Amino acid sequence: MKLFGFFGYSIVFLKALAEAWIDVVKRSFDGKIDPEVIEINTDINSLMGQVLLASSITLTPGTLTIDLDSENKILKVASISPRTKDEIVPFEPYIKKIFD
Amino acid sequence: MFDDIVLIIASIGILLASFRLWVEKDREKMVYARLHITGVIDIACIVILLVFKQYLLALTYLVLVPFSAHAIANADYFDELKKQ
Repeated sequence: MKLFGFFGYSIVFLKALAEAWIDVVKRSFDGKIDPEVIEINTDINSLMGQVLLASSITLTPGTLTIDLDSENKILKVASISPRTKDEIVPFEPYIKKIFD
Repeated sequence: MFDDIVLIIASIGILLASFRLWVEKDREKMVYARLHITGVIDIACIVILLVFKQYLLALTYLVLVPFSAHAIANADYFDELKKQ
């Protein structure tokens, strides 16, 4: 089960990475940048899982984790344009599978 | 040939991102926007390291990059000097 989670996470994360990279390069070209800061609730209980989630968000161009409240399971996330939670963290279910 | 194409695409990404970092004027939350754009450069650099078969260096880069971005964003968000 953990292996499936890791495999799924890797694929979804790499896909999100590629899409985000292309999107931010486009925005670098045309200048459509509208940064905003939002709060996201996460279902992941373990600290390692939350850290991996935060790091994955930051590694993806266009999203950036500013703060992580581990006990309340809240992340403060900066985004290069208005986005929904699912668009920011498509890989969360897989991380949950790995760590919880 | 595939390596060459990947290198060219990554280089174009770096050039476009650098251009935007250069011309974009200061405004609200622009620190985060700049960090987003340097994320493009970081990913491109990791890909280039993989193409040149520097796997250990690429892995190190991959692990350390998000933590430095975290630190910068967090420091800016909670900046006490700003409030004066």
